[in-house]
Amino acid sequence: MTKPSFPLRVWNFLTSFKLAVLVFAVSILLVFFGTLAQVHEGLYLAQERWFKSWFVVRQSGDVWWTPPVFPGGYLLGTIFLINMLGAHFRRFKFPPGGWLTLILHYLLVMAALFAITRYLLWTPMFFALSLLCLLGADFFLCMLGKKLPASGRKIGIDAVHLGIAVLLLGQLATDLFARETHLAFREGETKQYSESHQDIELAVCADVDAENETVVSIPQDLLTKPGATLTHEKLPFTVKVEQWQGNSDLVSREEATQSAATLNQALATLESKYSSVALLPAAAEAAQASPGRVLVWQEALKSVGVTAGEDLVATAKTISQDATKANTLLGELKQRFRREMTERFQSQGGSAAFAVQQIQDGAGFPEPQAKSPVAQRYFTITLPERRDMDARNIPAAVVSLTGRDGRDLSSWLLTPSLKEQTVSVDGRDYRLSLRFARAYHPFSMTLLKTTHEKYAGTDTPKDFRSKVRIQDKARHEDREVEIFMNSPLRFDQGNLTFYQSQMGRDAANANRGTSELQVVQNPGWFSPYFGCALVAYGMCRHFLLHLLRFISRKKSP
Amino acid sequence: MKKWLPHLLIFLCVLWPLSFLRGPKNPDSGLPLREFGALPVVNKGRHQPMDSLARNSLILLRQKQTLNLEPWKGDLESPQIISATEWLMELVFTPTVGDTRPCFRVDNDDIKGLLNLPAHPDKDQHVDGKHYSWNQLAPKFSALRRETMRIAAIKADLRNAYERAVVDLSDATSVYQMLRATFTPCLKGDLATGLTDYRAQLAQGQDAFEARMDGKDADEKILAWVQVEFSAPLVIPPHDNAKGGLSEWQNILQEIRTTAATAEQHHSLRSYAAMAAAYQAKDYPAMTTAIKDYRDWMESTKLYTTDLKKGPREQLYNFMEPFYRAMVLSVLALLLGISVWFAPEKLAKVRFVAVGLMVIVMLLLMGGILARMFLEGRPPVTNLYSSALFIGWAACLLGLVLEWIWPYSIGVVVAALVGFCTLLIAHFLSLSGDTMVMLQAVLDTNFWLATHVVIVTLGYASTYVAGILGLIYVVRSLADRSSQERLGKAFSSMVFGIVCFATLFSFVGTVLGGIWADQSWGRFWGWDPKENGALIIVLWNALVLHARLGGLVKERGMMLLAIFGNVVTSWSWFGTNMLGIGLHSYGFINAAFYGLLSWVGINLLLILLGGTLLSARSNSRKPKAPADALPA
Repeated sequence: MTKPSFPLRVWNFLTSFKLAVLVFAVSILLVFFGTLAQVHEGLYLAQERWFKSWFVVRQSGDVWWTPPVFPGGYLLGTIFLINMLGAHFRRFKFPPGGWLTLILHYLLVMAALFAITRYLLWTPMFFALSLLCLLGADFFLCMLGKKLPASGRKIGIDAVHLGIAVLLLGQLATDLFARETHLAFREGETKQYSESHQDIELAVCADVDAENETVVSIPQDLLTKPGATLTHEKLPFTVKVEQWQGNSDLVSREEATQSAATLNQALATLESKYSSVALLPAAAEAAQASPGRVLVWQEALKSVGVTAGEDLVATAKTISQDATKANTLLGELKQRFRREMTERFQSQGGSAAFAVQQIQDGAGFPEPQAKSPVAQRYFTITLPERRDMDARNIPAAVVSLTGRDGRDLSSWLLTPSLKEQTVSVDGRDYRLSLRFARAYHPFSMTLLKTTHEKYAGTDTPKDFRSKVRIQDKARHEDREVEIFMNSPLRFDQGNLTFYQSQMGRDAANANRGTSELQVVQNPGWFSPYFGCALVAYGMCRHFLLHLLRFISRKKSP
Repeated sequence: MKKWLPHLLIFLCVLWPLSFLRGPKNPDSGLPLREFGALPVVNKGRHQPMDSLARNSLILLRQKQTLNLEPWKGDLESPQIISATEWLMELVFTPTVGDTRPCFRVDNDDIKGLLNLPAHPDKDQHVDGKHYSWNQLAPKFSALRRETMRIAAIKADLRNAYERAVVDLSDATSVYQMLRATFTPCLKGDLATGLTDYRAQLAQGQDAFEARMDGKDADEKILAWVQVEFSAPLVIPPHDNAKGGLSEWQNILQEIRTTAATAEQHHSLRSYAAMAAAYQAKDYPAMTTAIKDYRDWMESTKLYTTDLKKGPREQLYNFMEPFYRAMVLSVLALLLGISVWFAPEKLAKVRFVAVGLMVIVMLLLMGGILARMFLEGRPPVTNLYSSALFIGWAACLLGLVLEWIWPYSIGVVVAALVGFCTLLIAHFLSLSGDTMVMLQAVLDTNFWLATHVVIVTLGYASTYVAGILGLIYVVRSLADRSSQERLGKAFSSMVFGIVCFATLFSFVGTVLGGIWADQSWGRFWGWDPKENGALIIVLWNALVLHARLGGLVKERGMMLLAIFGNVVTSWSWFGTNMLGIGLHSYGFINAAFYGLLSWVGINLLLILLGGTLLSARSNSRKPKAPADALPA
């Protein structure tokens, strides 16, 4: 036997069962490693690094079992597709029944499957029934002629593999094109847009008339490089990015001063409460009322070498006899309560946290970042950017505007935490804001009513749903729908879907419910449904044929 | 063996579970346990009979559904053991007596030290060193509370054994206090006095609360009292208020807060007071009448029909313990089934009995699962516990089908083994409390629970069946080489068929899960650990099929691959649950981690043994040489 040529050998390997089994095995390892990695990398990062990549390279901080390089999800998916489709191509044989019957049989099954999935998906009963009918018709066709069973035998396997290809490609399309935004509104509020949770845009709005406005929005990618100059035909000025903070905290000079005063006063009270040994028993008595304070006392006592008894007051009285010990205890208590207080301020972030910094490190206010009036009252602090999925970064930017004629239109501090700021050019007002990127929809949605039920005597949510009104002037559509868990609202043949996500109460008015809808725009949404139908149908058909053959063989040995 | 003996044996085994259909009996004293146990109550959002509340609470307190009043006595000295309902009755109606009962189990020595509990068994002092009463815990309760506060700040997966035990005990004490507060104002003999006192205490609590809000020093004792009363079980049925709809079930505190002192008291309050008075006076006929009055009143309003019907039914289900009985029978069937292997021809009758027993086990499981579905109004699988039951049932069914086609006493052993193991796992899972808890809003959809969850669970069950078949193949072949020759082909067909089945179910189940996710939060696939676990099962089954069809493995190889399916399925079923909270999670899951590790170890060991010691027998099932094998 002559040795096959090299390309043939590669082709043989690429389409072999061996490679299929290898890909399965490596995929299992990848999924397993990727799952374990989620524990320390977080769901989102691990997903990007392990599954949505070509190669996974070992990083510092990885656990010991991580291999130096590992094939990523995209690579395995590609090899898998090549192997699977190639194998079909290679093993394809014209059946004895002739190609016409074969093609007709194939077309019938695939087209029927597509139609059933497309049109009967939302009526599970009819869906299942029609699939059963299809299976019956399919088998009937198989038995029609003596030759047909051979022709139809592989349809099951083909459907399975085609379905897997649809699933893989569909998932790729979702990764590439799907976009997720959120629509948060209060009862009675109407909105025409939803907002991203991650992406930022710089929006410049100008009124056209009472109802309409023009919006020029500059996407985040263009803003992150300080020094970039941006122009747009509809803008009478150029925008230059002076400063960009990926995540920031807004501080009000006024509030920070106030907070500092409050904290100073609280610290002074604390100082006087624990100023002398004689006050110890009284302080202990006051502390005994709250378990939290008792804990602080116990820790402080431990550090001076005393184990706290049941009765703190008695212990405090005993200690106050010993002057040195009592003084150390005073110091410890002061230090601990002080730390607790400053930590409480720090955890509030923003102005309160800056006040702590002012008091502890003597930090002064920084120079204003921009020339605009708002920048005189507020400034932003850079925070480390967070990459885990649930965390939201609040970016901030300083931009300077220059008119077409070279006029300096001042510089501006922008962050989503601030309201719109107005710049006037040639008598026309332009409103500047840095906001979460918006996706405008051709219809408006009004939140009519929210329902938020819990099980009696618990906090376990039982039901939450939003009743919304949809108005689409162009299509003369005006209707009310309910969106709730497991029952989203689909638009545009399913490309745009609204899901019930969060539910709450308005901060200003507890009687007014708020609701947040998750809005997913995914042109590939249908692929998993069709892919699944193909695979499930194919497997049922194939295994059923196997079973029938097995039974008939058992009967007639 | 006599001809009728097998039939008689099977008949007796049918009779045994059926004999429990009579329901619980009241003791000779006439204490209306059955009637009280069937009364409806709402706890954690679930409508249930007092009997369930009592059993589940006692499980949290001492991991058993009964209470041993004299734990210091040995098992042979017949210590007095009472039912959960009897304990609950005593606790809610005579809290001071209840406080002397050794109903808390404490194993951790550090906690015994912390609470000053006698750690050494001492019969004369009535101490067994493990069980303690509330009165024994109470003196140092503040120490327990402080430790709990300290530990609350530590992340759950960083807590050590002592700290986890503290949290468990603290949870148990809150359950205990909550139960003890069930009928507080009804226990004074006279309802009016009780209510007046209760209102006065509530008012004090209100003052204390306001004081604390203002930052002043508040009476912490009364605040703690209010807090406990606030969490009491909901025993007051909803009012039929004028606005139309019923309000929710309430506990006594809520009821009293929302009705004026001068208004007529809710009928249930008066009934409870009557029950308490009769119980305290040990006048059991009067108590029976009081309970009956209450039920009659509930029936007459026509508002609580569902609750009234559900009570006795769930009580009967609790009493029958179908899963416990199924476990006993499956052990028997397992032993019988294995014994057949040693002399298949001679012991054909034994195989018949084993199959008969497994049919009973299968029916018992089905009955139990159906009863749960009926009580909950849900599809069979709603949580980890019910998934274990369902896997057991499905494996029994599959094993019996295999036994029907290949009557070699293999299928019946698989059925018994998987059935027993899953029931054991279910038993351990039930120790963490109520197994019929209410479902979160996301899960509240019978359609997806009935399709995705059921199908994916069938996928688990069938992968396990294939894996256990592989294990039996290896063990039997190692013990007796001739059996490999005799049964190899049957094993091969069984495993191949089951793997096909498993591939279908795990794939469809997994994808349906994706579709559910797409329906509820807009993403088909999110690479979430549980999803990934299911995906691994699908990939593994596909690997086995392709390796077999491509001729890469033969009979022995496929068996070894099937065994690894056990590891893969266990990872998906349990391993992924341990991930989220780290590998040091608490309670059963912590012990389960080591269980899982040893199970994985056993499987790997048998794969290794099978791979090295057994001969790779070629199989005639698929004689075709792999077409794509590379030339050497």
